[in-house]
Amino acid sequence: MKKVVIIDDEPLARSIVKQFLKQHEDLELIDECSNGYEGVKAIEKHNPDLVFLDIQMPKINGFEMLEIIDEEPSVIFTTAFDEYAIKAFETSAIDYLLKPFTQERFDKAIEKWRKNKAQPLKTVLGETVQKQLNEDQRIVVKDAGNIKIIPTVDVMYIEAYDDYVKIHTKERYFLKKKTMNYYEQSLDKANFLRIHRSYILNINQLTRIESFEKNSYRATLTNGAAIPISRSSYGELKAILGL
Amino acid sequence: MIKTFILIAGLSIFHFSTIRSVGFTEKTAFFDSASLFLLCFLFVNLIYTIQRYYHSNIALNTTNFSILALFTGLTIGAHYLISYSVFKENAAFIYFLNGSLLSKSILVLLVYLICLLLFWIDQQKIQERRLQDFAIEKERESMAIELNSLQQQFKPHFLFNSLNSINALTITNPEEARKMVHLLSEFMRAAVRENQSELVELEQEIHHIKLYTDIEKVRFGSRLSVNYELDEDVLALKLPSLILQPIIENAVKYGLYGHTEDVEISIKASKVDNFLSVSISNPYDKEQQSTVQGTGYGLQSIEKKMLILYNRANLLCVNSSDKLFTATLNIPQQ
Repeated sequence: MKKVVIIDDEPLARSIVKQFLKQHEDLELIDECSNGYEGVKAIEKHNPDLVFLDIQMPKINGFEMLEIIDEEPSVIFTTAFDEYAIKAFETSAIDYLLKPFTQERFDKAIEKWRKNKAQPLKTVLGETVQKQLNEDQRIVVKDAGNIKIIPTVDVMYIEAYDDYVKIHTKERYFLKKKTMNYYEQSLDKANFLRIHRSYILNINQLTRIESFEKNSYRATLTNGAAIPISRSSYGELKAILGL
Repeated sequence: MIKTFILIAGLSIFHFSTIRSVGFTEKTAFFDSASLFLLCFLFVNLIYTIQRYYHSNIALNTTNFSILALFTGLTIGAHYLISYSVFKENAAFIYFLNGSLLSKSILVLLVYLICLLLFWIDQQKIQERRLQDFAIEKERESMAIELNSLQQQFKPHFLFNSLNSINALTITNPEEARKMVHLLSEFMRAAVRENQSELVELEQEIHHIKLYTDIEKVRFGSRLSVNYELDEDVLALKLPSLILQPIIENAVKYGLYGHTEDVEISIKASKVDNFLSVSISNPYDKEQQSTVQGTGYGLQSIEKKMLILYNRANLLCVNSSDKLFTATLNIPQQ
């Protein structure tokens, strides 16, 4: 038996998936969740073979939920209308069900999933999530089992850390498995600038630039932290600040 | 400005040649013409300045004519005094000066009149263009609002999710599915039928809101509850049709998508002085929500619509405490 989880905030939307699942005897529904928080827990607990996932949900959306799961399951998205998402799906191998859908369309999606289960979801979703991030101006991270939403205005700076990045806020930092390039591309260019190979600065948090040794500069932030500025980006930073 | 300059210069040259032809020296003629030229130039500028701040409906009304007469008198008076004090000893010229005063006055008055007409026509054109721009702007705005409110009624997300719920209900609860089809069609019918700036009674608007929230209640089940506190005497008061729709949608969206718990939305209406005051509030978590509620396109469109319909700003107030977001719309009553 294959394990299936349904994640959708509307009970009737879950019920239709449940109804259509009855036609597939080898698929067993093991959990239903009404938001992303429950979804993360359910996926980590059951390690399902297939997840039906809604996109627009309370607090964190479907993409953000996938971002904080370590081992991504196979996913069939169910959504009513989401321009970004639909564009991303159409160019990829992932299937999606546009609500409302029929039993036939549902069966087709299951067939497709049976044929090519192991799909690299992350690369396809990267772009979509990036656009979502631009819209929502927030970063979702997992922190000691809890899910935390950080508005990008609260981010002081982002620091490279092996395969991870450290997202520094006023009090502390959070780890996220992403690249510096990802954030350099996706964060709002009016507020964030990569000032060093290993640092992206929130320009609004800058209080002082001081010269530090010969030919090198250091940025001091509102919370007192100091981070280096590479020589090549010093000019760019000055231009943005209008110096 | 160049036209008037040429006109005054022409007058001065004519004046110069007249004095020369009578037989006075070049120097005398030049000085006399120059003083007339400068004085005319000064007063034409004054007329221009006055026209910029005072634009009459007809070019030659009493005020404008009085100004012209006054300025002509001042020009000729000043011109006479200057020339008299300079050419005191030249009896022949003084005699000529005295004799030419009347014809000079008429000429100067004519020049001022032409200048005034030129300015007035310019100003009239500017005024007309301004009015036209304003009308176009207003038209564009009301069109945008109409379009926007149409789009608001047909939020695809809402429509397709509702259809999906009906899809599910046809299997599990056909009775409920029928009810939902009815709700959805009645809601949609009202949305396409309504004249967007028509005034309707609050009772009708509340009925429309109830249709919407009933649909949402079917979609979200027990998570959503709506609570009404309506004073008896407000139900017959008037408000623009569907004006509350974006507020209620906003409340449902931020309530349901900002929380994982149950959400209660409350709608209150009362009469305050000469206003119908409607407040809609939803639970709101300042800490957790990254996008600030109240900055959305929906609420902005209401403000614009109210501005156009009532010609008053600040009829929509939003207030967010730590736990509650409230939008209050004050609708003036006749």
